[in-house]
Amino acid sequence: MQTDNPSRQGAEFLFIGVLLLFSLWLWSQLGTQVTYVEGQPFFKQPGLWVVIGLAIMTLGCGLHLWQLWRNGATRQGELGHELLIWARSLEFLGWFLVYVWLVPVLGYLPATVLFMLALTLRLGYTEPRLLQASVLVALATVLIFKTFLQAKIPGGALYEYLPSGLRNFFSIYF
Amino acid sequence: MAHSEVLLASLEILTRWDVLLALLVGSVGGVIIGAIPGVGAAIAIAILLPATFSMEPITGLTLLLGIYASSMYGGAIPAILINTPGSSVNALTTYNGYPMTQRGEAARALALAYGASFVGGVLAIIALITLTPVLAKVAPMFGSREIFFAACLGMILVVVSHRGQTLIALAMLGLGIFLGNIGMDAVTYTQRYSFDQVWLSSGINLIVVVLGLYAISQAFTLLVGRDSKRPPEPAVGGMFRKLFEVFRYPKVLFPSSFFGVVAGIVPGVGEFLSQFFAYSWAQKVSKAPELFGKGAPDGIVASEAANNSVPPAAMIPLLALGIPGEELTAMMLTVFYVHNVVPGPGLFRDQPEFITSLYLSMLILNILVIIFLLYASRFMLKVVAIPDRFLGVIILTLSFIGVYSLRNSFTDCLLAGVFGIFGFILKRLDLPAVPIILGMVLGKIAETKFRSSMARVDSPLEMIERPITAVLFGLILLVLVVHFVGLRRGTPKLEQFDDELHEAEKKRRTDP
Repeated sequence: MQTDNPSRQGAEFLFIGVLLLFSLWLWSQLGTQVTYVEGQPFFKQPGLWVVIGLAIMTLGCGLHLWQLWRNGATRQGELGHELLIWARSLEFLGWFLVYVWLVPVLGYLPATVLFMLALTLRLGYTEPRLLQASVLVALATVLIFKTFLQAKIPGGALYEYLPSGLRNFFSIYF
Repeated sequence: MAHSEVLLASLEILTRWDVLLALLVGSVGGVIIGAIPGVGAAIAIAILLPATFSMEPITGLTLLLGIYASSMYGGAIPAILINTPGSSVNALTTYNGYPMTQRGEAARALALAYGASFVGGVLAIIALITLTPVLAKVAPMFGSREIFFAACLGMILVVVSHRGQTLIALAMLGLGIFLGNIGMDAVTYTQRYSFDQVWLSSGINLIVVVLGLYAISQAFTLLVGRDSKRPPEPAVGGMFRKLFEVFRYPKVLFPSSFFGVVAGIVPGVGEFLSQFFAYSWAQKVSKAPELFGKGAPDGIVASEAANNSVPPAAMIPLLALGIPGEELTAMMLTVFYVHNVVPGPGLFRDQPEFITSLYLSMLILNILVIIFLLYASRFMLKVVAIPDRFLGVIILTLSFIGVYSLRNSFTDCLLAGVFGIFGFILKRLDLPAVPIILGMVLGKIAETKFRSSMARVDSPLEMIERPITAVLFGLILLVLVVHFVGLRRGTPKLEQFDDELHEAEKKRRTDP
């Protein structure tokens, strides 16, 4: 069964096609990326399970693609619209990576408050209730994970500019 | 250690403040998480997993199990009251739950769901308590060869259980096996597909993949989508008395729980099949089968008893053999690994108090959840009202802590983000992600056990000479034969059920 939404069947064909090409490219790298140990039988080779995984992946992708082609998936759907939706998720990946980059610079608490507030605004929420909620959720997240559960997050470079007592306190708890 | 000593030692563990807190947070948190459409237990467990590594195994597992088991209770609330299942396992509850709400019987429908979930959960815990030690007694007969075949059976069941999607499930399983084998080989110290990259030489972390495929992908799905409109909340009250009404349907309640237990034990089967059998059975024995889909109380009992009895039963193969049957128990296995606790007969022999306290904590958890729900069902509807895209912001923020706290690596976050995009596309196309996770976990187990068993045999055929391996090999063949016969003949009832459930589940999604 392919996706039951006809507008996405063309996109599915493309996606599985790319996955199949990727698996074929991985096959082409087999000679350089896996060491063949001389004197060992095939089933004791270090690359055996990589090969099994690749074989299953290629077989599954190939047969699924053939099934899609037989069902006429290539003629269906607004591929461009679906690809645009996929591309829109890249923006949020960008937001996520900027947040990851900001944490060691600004510190976990300031970066989280800034990230949540900015992304909430970006999504078009301007009501004070949701903006306050974003700050509160950010604060609660830091308090639960860093202050209480002592999650391993380094102190921000910005904390270095705080007075010495506060600097340690912020580095450990926020 | 005598039974009474084990019980006392377990009670001592359960009265520790950290375990009590984990019980409370797990049960209440699980209900809230389950009630929010678009979150679900898998995402919450993926986010919390690294945080539990610093806890003791019993504390971490209690927290995760609490979320796993109680999220099913929570998911029934929006399914019944606003026709939106909290998670996919509650989609079936909307069939009869929402029509009852429309008839002004919201409190009765909720009470039936809670009662059925409670009985299903408790019966599954009893099955866990009675069956796990039996399996653990058989477990010493499980050497490398037997575990290898059990892992292979699990992988095959995962693929064939994706009806209508077996080919793509097969491809995803292959991808999972491949991902799980990237990096340095521990036996020959040679690199496998690491492309001379330091970050690949130690392999791809399972948690990075889990967080990407489940949490980050769901955040992207919500962020790219639109906020959905929720119907006004109906009146709910006076549920305590109605809770016992569930016992008026013993012919549905107990068989449904049984189906859930069996589905939980067998790897890869999960809630879908248990609900299918339970619902079909309930329709067959009902005095008013024409009411099914229009507000049949026994329909709610069947779906909720069948789904809530799966989590405790899924712990049976995990605790006795170290074999996870689905993605959530696969995540929990990492908690064992991190603390060097090996699930299996050794655990029953050396740490019986650990096992007993785990059983007891699951029982207490079900009681806590029921008490919480009797008073907080109305409040749950406020939680459901969180705008979808704002929920996406929260999940993305929480995903960061899950990945970054592993080893403060930007590369891990980037990789999780890439898996997030991959998972987002899978979700858009209704393709399965579960086989990737089970391919990584079971593929690794199969590889390790295959190697150690091949060192003791001259030819691969010797692998099936032992009685248990022969039985497991026979089961593998049987599953394959049944699957291919089913493909030829077709299973129209099951396919129709699958399609209907799929439609109901779609109510919690909003397309961009």
